[in-house]
Amino acid sequence: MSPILETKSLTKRFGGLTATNNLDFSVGAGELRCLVGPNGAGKTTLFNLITGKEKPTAGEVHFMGESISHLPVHEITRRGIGRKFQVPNVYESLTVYQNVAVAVQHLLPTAALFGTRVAAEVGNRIGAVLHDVSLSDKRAMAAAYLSHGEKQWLEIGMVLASAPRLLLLDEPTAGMTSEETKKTVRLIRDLSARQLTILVIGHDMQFIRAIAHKVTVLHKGQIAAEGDVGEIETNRLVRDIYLGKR
Amino acid sequence: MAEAARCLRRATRTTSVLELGSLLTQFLNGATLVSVLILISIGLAIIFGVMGVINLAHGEFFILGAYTVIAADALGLSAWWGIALAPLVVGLFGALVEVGLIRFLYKRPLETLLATWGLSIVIRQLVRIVFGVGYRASPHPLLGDLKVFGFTYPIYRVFLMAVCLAVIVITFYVFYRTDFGLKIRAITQDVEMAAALAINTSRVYLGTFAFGSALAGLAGALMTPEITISPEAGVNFLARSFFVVILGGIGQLAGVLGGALVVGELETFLSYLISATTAQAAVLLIAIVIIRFRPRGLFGG
Repeated sequence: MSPILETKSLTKRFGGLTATNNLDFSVGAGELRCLVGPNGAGKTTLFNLITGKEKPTAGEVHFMGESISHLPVHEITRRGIGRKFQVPNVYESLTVYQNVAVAVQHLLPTAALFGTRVAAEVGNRIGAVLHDVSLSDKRAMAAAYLSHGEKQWLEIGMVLASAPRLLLLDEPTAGMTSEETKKTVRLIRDLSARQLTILVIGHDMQFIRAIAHKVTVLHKGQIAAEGDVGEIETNRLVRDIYLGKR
Repeated sequence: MAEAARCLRRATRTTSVLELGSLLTQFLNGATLVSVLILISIGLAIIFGVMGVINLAHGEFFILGAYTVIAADALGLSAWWGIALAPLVVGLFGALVEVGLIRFLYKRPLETLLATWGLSIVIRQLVRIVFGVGYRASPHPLLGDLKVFGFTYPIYRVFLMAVCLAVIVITFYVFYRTDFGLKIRAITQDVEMAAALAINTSRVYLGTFAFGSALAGLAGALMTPEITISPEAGVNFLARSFFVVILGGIGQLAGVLGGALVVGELETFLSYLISATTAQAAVLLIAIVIIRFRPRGLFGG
């Protein structure tokens, strides 16, 4: 597999803190990869660097063979990187449908901006996404009234609607009931089966076991270990990192 | 603005001797002021709501609109041309200000406050240099009265209200019914997520600031026949617009309508009874009392 995403000597410092340290990391096209590590390992910072929210101190991020480090956030999204934040970031006062409609704006021609209805094809896309995240019956409801789990799905739906090639999910099951977690696992596997490349930050081993083949362990902004779930689970170094021995 | 109120009162004395007609005239005078206040305040409210920028130069954008009419007149163009050009000229000027100044101060409200205050001084001084310090009169585009059932009212003010109403309707339509409006509302609620959803936020900011400026410019141009124009004329309107926005409830377009209605009508009716300056002070005092009891404004949730 040729890598769809690559970081080259990527470094990010916040004052005296090095959140990402000379990191060479890559994800192959179509892969479903899990990113784990203790608090402060640099997982979310890595997502911020990939999506352009933070600019690297040194090094570069390459996506589909091109350097994207210098691009603004919306431009990186347009290239095909979709990101779901850790806390649900939905527009509470808008309806479920409108939330997804916001995400398809960039797929519309400029001339259609002042139209009152998004084009039919885009409407179908919104419908398909709502079906994927099981929110079809709630399309007219204001997002504020959704449950926590449904908000998480809505946000995944919004990111999917923006037509990503690479999907970044930051702890997508945080705060979910076990039933909701199961449903989310099914959704992620479904998406992966459609050749979407997915990078997931996880914290719950059970969840990670359920979805991923390959796991990358971050520690102090560097890769501490990489391999199959089974390998990682029995890895002594990884256990020490989590127990705070290193 | 004291002159304008005096002018409104003069209009009252001459139009009708009947009590009812006089009341109606007062109401319409108030409605004229209300429409103009809405036009100015909506720009202020949108810029604050979407970008978090408090534009202290908004009053100067208003007088730039008025001076556009005067400049057009000096170039031999009619006042109609001036009114049509003012939103374009001031909107373009607003866009330049956004790119050259505001853009560097996002998320720094105190600095923007200082920067736009400084900008307002610069604009006032430039206007003094170019047009002189004194009061200016502008050509009146539409003299004459509208007569309905023996009741007469200056036709220009009817025109002014109609234009304001049209602009207000269009603004609400764009905000609540179009995809562009959806984008603006998304950015207002969560700019970070909007950027992550591929919305070019800096372009929407630019458009918002230019649009708000254009509305202030249009208001200034429309008011030229109603007020005596001077480089300082904007300050008075800025102060009232702030009260309109705060009174209506920050962050709500509909609040602006309510706030303007209270400020504009109260001021007009009071200035019929007491002196114009006292009336203005009284309105602001009443507004302060209302805000004391409804800190989120009349329509704030």
